[in-house]
Amino acid sequence: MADNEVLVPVVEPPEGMAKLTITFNGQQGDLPDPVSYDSTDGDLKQMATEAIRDGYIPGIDAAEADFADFVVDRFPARDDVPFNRLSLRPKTPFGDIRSEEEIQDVIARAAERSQNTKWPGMTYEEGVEQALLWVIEEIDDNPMQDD
Amino acid sequence: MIETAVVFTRNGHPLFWLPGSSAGAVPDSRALWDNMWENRGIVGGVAHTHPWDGTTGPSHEDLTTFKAIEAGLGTRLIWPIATMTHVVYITYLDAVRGYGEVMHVDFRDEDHWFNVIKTLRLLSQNNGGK
Repeated sequence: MADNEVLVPVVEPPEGMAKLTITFNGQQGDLPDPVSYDSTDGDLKQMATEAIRDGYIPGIDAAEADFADFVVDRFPARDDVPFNRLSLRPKTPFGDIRSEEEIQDVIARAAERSQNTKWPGMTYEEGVEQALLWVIEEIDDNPMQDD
Repeated sequence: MIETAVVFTRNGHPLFWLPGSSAGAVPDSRALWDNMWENRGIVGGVAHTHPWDGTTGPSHEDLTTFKAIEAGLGTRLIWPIATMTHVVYITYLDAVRGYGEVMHVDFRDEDHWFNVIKTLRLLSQNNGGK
């Protein structure tokens, strides 16, 4: 066992609740209190942020944590682990670069709509800005998604 | 071509391969994270591919993943990106510049492996496991 891991007695959360395990800064620990299994990812990240700030999680040193790029895995109870578990851990995807096909599709739809725009209040420059921000993945919304 | 990621040790040995879901993306993977966590004492970084010729840089998705994994592990890593012709080595530079390229090699050059090994050794020494 690593020095920074602490044995915590497993207390089974009650029905509808879950144990939240957090991994941060090379350390891992469980929130001492059960949480609702249906909590949103945002709520769980907020709970984890506050708990780590307060040094409330055995095995994790107090710190200012940013979980914006973390994800929540949800494991329902099963025979060998008879309670719900939640795990807050870093996301791991790579790439997500815009494919040429995807960009060509947006160009074609923009050309089709150019004579009958849905955005008469937007300037040409604003449209260019939004399109390029989408290409470099600064924004997720497809600029022609409402077409 | 389907994008691929590989977790490697500080000595450059592959630990875990993860195929992508398309030419442009490797999806989020609990298995990849579990492998990195189990090997956190020896993991050196994660390399992944971009499907074109020439040099490249990290996407927004890449950068936020670098940041998240390093926050989870509590250590800095090396993030090579391989295209059809080059490997670009990305690492955290400093608070002002954030992540940036420390070198790139054209593996059509005869001495590219020498450059890769030299770079990995230098980066590992500088990171020192932290």
